[in-house]
Amino acid sequence: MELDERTFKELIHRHRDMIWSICKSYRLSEAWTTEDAFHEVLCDLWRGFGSFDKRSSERTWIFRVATNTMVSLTRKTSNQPTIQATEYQEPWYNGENYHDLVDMINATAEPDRTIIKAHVQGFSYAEIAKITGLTIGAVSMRLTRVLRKIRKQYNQK
Amino acid sequence: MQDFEQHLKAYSEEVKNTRCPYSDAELDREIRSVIWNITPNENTKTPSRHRLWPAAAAIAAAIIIPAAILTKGGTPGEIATIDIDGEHVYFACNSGCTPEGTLQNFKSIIQ
Repeated sequence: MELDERTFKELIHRHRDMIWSICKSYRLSEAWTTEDAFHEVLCDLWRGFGSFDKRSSERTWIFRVATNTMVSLTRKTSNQPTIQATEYQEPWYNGENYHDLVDMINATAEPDRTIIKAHVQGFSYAEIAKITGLTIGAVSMRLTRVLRKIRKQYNQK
Repeated sequence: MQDFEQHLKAYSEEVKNTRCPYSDAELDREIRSVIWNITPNENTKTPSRHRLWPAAAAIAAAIIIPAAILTKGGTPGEIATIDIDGEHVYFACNSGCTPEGTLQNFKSIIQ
């Protein structure tokens, strides 16, 4: 195995949980499983691996690539039947209001959806700024605004 | 209001605590299949891999598909590889097919 391949393999092993979590957090059509999405993300990571210049952290780079792949898949499958959060049998979705919250986050337009998802993954504002290409101030402002909006929707339910 | 904050916090905790269900060996196999099929920085359409059949069909598919491809004597449409993991049959498509497109290609092979 060449060095690059070994490095890539180690990188994926280190960040497998985050990649899986990102794949799982998007609503795709019924024809797509989390495994399919995970494979697509690996393809895109490997495709871009040679151009990863290490100017950002590997975690930030992986999040960015994985999120872009998932946003693109979501767009491509947007006209197909989608699994609703309430149909999931996963431990994530264990309460009606909780379903609403997850659906509201997923219904948020970009780049706010990516900002929320990065925020809940624990990325700092500076890291989210690198992921989205926005300034730190813009990230902070957008996050505050979108959370306020979702909170309002949530409380009206 | 309190519910919202609690649920947002719970969501964040769940996201951060989510674990990839693949074993090391399964993950290695996934990575290997990607590395074998794609050159880094290759600017082509996204290969896609779709789970189409449940386990019950796996054995039949393992026999029928290669036979059908041989019988047709040509390339198997857009389908590049077939992989059976004991539970499901996977079809890999190298032309950025949708799951439905991959299934259609598969059907055209065996018909």
